[in-house]
Formats: sequence, C-alpha cells, structure tokens
Amino acid sequence: MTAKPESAETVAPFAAELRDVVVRYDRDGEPALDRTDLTIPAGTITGLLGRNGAGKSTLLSLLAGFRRPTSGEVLVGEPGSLEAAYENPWASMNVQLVRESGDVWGDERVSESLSHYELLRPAWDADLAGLVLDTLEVDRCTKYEALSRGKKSAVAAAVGLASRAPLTIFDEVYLGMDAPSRYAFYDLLLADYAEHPRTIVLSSHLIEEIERLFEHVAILDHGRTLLSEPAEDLRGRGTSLTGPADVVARHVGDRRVLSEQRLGRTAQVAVLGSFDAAQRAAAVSDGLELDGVTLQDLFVHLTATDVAPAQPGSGAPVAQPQEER
Amino acid sequence: MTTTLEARREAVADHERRATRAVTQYAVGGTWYIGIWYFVVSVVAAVVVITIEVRNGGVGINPAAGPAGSARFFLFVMAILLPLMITPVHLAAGGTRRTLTRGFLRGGAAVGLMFAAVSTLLVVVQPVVLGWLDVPVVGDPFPILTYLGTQVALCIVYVFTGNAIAISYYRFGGWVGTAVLLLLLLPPALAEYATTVGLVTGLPLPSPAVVVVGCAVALAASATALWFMFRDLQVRPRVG
Repeated sequence: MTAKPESAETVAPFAAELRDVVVRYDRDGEPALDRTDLTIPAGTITGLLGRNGAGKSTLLSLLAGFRRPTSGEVLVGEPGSLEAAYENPWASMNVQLVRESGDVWGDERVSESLSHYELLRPAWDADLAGLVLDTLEVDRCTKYEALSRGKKSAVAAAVGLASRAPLTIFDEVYLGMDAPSRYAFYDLLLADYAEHPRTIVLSSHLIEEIERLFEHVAILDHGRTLLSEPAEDLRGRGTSLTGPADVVARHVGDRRVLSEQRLGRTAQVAVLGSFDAAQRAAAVSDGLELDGVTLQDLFVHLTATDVAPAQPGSGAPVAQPQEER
Repeated sequence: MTTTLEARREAVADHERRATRAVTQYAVGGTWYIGIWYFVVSVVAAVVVITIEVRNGGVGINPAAGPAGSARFFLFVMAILLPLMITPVHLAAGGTRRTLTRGFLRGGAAVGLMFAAVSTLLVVVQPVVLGWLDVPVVGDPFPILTYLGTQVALCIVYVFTGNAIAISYYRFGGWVGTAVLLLLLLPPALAEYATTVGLVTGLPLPSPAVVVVGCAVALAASATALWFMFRDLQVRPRVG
C-alpha cells in the first residue's frame, strides 16, 4: 500500500449547493425533490430536517454522488470552487455519506469493511475508528450481520467520523443506538469537529436531543426547501414564555401557540414570532422568563399540513405563516 | 487552505489507483475464496466418476470435459454475485463508477487468466493420470496453447457478462433486466460458437480466423456491456 498524499489532511471544509434540482424515481410519480434550491455552508454542522418522505435521503445521496438528479445542478467543493458531485473523483473522495445501513459487507468482519474505507479515504483515522467502536462497545472482529441494530449504527458512526471527509453526512445513522450510545456519539462528534473542522450534515428525527449541535438548519417539506438559515435565527423565530399560567396567557395574546406545557399553576408556552423590546420588558416585569423556542416546536409548526410549502424557483424560501410577527 | 491544482491532481490520481486496485483485489480474492473449493470439489467429483466408470467396464474419458471445461460457468456465477456486494460499499467509501469498471475489467481479466491456466493444467495432467489407470482417453488431441487461448477468452467473456448481468438487474429490475439478459448473453454465445468447446459442441470446427475474430469480438462486446452497465449506475436509496 502506497503512502497517502500529503494533501489529504489539508482540504478545506466543503460547501454544497443544489440548484433547481428535480429527482423523479418514476416517470409518472411524484418527484422526490421538486425544483429544490439549497445551500449548505462550509465548516458548519447543518441539521437537515424533514418529515418522512420529504426527500432528505434523496438529497443526501445526490450530495454523495450516489445518483444524479433528473434535472438541475448538485455542486460540492471548497468555497468558491464548487463542482458537480456526480461521478467526480475529487468530490467522491472528499464526501462521506453514511446511511443507517452502514454500507459495509454484511458477511464479513467489521474490520474488513473498515480496511476498505481506510484504503480509499484520504484522511481516514484508524485510531478514531477504534475509539468510536470501543466507546460504543463494538467488537470489530464480529461479522456485521451478527451485530444488533444499535451496534450496526455504531459501525456507521465510526465510518463517518473516522473518514474525516471535508463533507461528512450522517443520514439517520444513530436511530438504532440506545440513548447513552447516542449521547456518546454526539460527544465524540463534537470533540472531533472542534479538532478537525469540516462540514457535517446530520439528518435526524430526534430533533430535540440533537438540535444543540446544529449551527445551521435546513428543512425539507414535500421535496422542497422550506427554509435554510442559521440555527440561532430559526430559534429566534419563536419565543418561549414561562411563568404563572394566567400571566403567560395574557402575554401570549393572539399569537400562534406552537406548544404548551403546564405544571400546577406554572405554564411554559412556545409561540411563533418574536417580542420587541417593550413587549419583552413588560413580560419580564410581570415575572415571566423569555427564551427561544426549540427547533422541534418550530419544525412541527412549519411542516404542518396547513403551512404552504415554498414556491418553486424562489431560492431558499421561508414559510410565512399568517400569525408570524 | 485551498488545495492547489497540482496537489489535487496528485491526490485524485492516487485515489483512483487505490480504488481500482481495491476492486481488482476484491474481484480476484472473492472469486478465489470460493474458487479454490470449486476446483477441489470438481476434481474429487471427477475422480469418483472415473473410478465408477472404470469399475463398470471402462469407458473413454474426454479430458476437456469435467472440471477443466466448466470453470467458466463457475466464474459466471461468481461474477454475478460480487458486484452486488461491493458496489454500494465502494461508492460509499469514495470510489467512482469508473474505478469500479476498471477494477472489474482488470479483476475479470486476471481471474479469467488464472482459471484458464488451472483448467489447462488439469487438461494436461488428466491424460497422464488416466494413463496410469489404463483408462482410454477419447476426443481429438489439440494443441495446449490453443486450448489455453480459447479458455482465457471464454473465462473472461463469462466474467464480464456475469458482472454486467448483475448490474443490469440492479439497475433495471426483473422484467427489463431479463430482457437485457438476452442481449448480454450474445457475447458468450459468440465465444462458445467460435471455440466450439462449450454448449454448441455439435457444430463443425471453425477456421482459426473465426476463432480469433469471434473471441476478440466477444471480449470487446462483453467488456463494453460491463462498462455500459456500470457507467451510469444509480445507487438506490434505502429510505425515503
């Protein structure tokens, strides 16, 4: 085996862009992606959210060059020099898509598959792969097929982290893990991301527990980009009020309620829209605590069936519910 | 921290070499992993059959039949299985369709040569062993190099065709895949006709020109089919 090139460790984090992308699996069926535009900024952890069938996996497989779009452009690369993702060796060697299935040999020992990845991935870190497997208690001498679903997910997580690809994509890989394993994975991911900055895309339905990782969020709905913006901006689209229920109700007024929790006389209500300085001061003086809302509450609201999807060809549009202020 | 053009070119070339080599090694290693047992079992079966025939009065044995002549069919089956196992893994690991194609072309050529060589060796050894046992050898004698050449062509054509059939079914599904299968079987049929050592043994022996041209066309056609199937392979999504 020849030594890997020195450039392997010096590739900048990749950005990704979809321009007017359509994907159809059947000629007459609904498109999986329908004139989708999306930008994934380089050097961020981006959360890709969407309901079942929204087109997340299709979109991610485009970024990895697993397939080409029916029409439109899919570009990846270092900022300022994006290029087509499909059948482009530079893109392929620097983009790692990890699916829940793991994309490893089922009837071989885990170590055999890892060896194949090590051979092909320029920045592969075998020590990190070992660390992830040890932390998540996976025996690499076991055949992949013999592992439980959670351990299979752990193998996928190890592949994704150890590849250190400038664009690393995790497509629901951690769903099979139990809670301690998932949290261990998040910690490993954050630690390695801090040490080796790259672009990471996380697709998950476990929004509540993973949203703390997101710096950028994109939401897909019915094959279209509903929004794509920094996570902080998105959290600022709503406000959470906590305090005596009657006081909270007075300040909520006719705002759209995203979620509501009560414990005795105390209520916590998440509403759509922000409070201006005067409204905020009034609420605080009445003894309320104000905070941002969770992405999960916003996600549920934004992807509810009564919110119209973005219009095609309008860039990366933002849903505009009537009640938003 | 933008990669220079020179560094990038070097990295891509190195990556493609690695990826192609990985597929080649997988194709060769995967085939031999089971292939060694194929030869062992085939030879044992041949010995049992010959022993039974000798004990029942003795009949003539054609050395070109048996394990030596059926290697290509084993390769054909293995060639259908291997691409389905490595393709998603290879693309996920950063390989491309081009490196898959190159790897399978090189791997197919390598295992074709190896299996043809072993088959030829069996053909050489078998009459000697049969002579020790006083079993008459039937069939026309033929130059070993001619036999080796035709076996090489047949084995490689069958491997390439098997690879193409696997990806054809993966890409097109059952109905269209079966329709395409009929087309994909034309190169091995041509090779069989040109060499007359396979399924169409009743035909008259073609001229050397027919053998050479037929094998060359069959090789080119099967390699083209393999390339065509791999070049636009779309990996299926696992979830919606």
